Amino acid sequence: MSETHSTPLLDAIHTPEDLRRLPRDTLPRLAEELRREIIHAASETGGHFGAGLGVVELTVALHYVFDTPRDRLIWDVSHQAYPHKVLTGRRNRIRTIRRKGGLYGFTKRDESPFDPFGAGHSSTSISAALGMATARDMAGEDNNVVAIIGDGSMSAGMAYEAMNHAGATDTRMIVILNDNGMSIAPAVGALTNYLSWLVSSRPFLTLRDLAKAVANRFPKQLREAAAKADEYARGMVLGGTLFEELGFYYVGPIDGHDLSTLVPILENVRDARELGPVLVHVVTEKGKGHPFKTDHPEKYHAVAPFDLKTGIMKTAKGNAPSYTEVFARALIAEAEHDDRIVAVTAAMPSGTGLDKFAERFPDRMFDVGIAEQHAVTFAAGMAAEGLKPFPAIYSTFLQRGFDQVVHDVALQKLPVRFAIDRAGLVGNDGATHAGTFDVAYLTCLPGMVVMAASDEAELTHMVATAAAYDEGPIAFRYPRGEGVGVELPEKGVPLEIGRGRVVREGTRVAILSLARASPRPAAPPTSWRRGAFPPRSRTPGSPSRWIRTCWNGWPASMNFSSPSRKAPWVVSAPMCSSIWPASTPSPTA
Amino acid sequence: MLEHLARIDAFADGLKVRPMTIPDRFIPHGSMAEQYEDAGLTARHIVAEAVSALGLGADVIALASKA
Repeated sequence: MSETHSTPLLDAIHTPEDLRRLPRDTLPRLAEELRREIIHAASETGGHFGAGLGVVELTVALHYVFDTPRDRLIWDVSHQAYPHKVLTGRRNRIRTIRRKGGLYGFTKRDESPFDPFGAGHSSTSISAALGMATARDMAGEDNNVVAIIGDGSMSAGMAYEAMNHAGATDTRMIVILNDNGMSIAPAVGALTNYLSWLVSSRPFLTLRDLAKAVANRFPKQLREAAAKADEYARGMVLGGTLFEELGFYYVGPIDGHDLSTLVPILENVRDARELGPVLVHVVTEKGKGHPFKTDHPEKYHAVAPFDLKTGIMKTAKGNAPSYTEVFARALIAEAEHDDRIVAVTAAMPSGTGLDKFAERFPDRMFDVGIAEQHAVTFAAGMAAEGLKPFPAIYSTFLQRGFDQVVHDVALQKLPVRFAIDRAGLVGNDGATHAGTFDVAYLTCLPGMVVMAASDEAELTHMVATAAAYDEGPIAFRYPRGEGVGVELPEKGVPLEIGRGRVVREGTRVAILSLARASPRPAAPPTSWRRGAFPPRSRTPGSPSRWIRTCWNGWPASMNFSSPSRKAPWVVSAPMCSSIWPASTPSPTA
Repeated sequence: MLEHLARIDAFADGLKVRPMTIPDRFIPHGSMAEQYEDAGLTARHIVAEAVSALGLGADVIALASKA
């Protein structure tokens, strides 16, 4: 550990109990040590550290004010929970984060009692907090329940469903709105503008204001009965508006990096036991103190390991383009020839490659925010009017819009083109982000065509296939990471729906594979490559089509139903890694 | 695929099928390669499955890797 990384206060903290014994005026120094520790760890491991840096002071304040783990802290998404993990007994493992056997990149119930609710996907925290607060009330307990949610997560309907419910129940709970003006990409939508207006139209709440705030802590019934004049006067300090309409008591905005304000206000909110649901609006700077001199906002989200001095990231750039890049390129190529093609992203313009599409066709790209349900039905509406929408959504996130896929798209046979990135196992983000379910949840739908690309050239053809296919919904899935390095066509050619491909002829064993998921297929034993074992057939298409045409695609020698010949053995390996390296010629392809 | 093979009575002729899928559990984090290893879906696993379906022993695998 270098001298600049000396952390005497942090070294003495093994649990939040130690933190709560510190003199209040040492908290800013502790926060600074914690920030340096996070940056140091991130430089070695990479990961989602921007969000955590933005909430260092907030994390310190929460553990100082609240009696964790008895009081529940529920981090929305929880990629901002690295400082929380450091303060809750996991500092010695923080450099294992996201690695096999190491700490998880998100909160996880079975990792620590300080993680009362796991997350990974956004906008779930208020619902979970309300459920826990309700259980607390039913058990006659008196602990606090605190949800910490970013403004980006507030674009999803679930957050409002939960607030709508909480506001109607008067359950005592605290929602910290961590407003940093962005989620992964800069947040979009009217709410963001509204929050900016809230922040800009009134000064930060100070200690002096707090006295007034306390004076204004009426029971809700009284507040509702209060005269307009009072409403106006109170609005000068507390303001609430939208959140108050939803039944929350609004406090803010507060400078989320100023511990001398943050701590007393949180204490006040903690002790205001008659208030019902409270929303504390905290303004933070995402990635605060990060060593990068970059203006690329998404770089704050997740990074590769980097050099602490230079800030240069240590990524080994592969030779092959990523599937994401190939998808974007192919979609742009199709869109050049067809002005009905439009693209939809749910707050992942760069992650899906659609930022490139937006550069070329700014009027034909729609970022709807973290709102997959809306994204799917929004696309369905456009398809109903004759556009060709390509919602590009990660497999794991499309789960969130499943009923919309069934009820709004498939049932009405609307030709929405689903580009499903991060299909299959996705690596370090782990089980919360696994893209392993879409084959099951899409192929069970009548009329849904599902394709899986086995290399980047095939992905290009699948984009062309989706653009050409107008009879109903169609989806194509492709894995995270770089392609296998095959030559890319200038423009894709539509595939015959449901037609498989024999990669290699043979006699005794048939290997059926649905695409390729592993980026680095292992080489088979030489005898396999010589053809002692035969064909791997892979095929795009829904299972029924897949089987039927896979059948058509097989050599006559493989006729299973012929009683006259010895039947072959079949190893079916859907979604497995490829057996043959990309360089192996495919004799019958 | 199994449904299709069943409908055409393919199993009556001694056809052996070995489905290989993502196992019925959540796969914890790690690199993608580590996850597929964990799931039992690498080339090595497919070789082993095929060899075992053919009723051949470990000696065949050793032979194959020497060849």
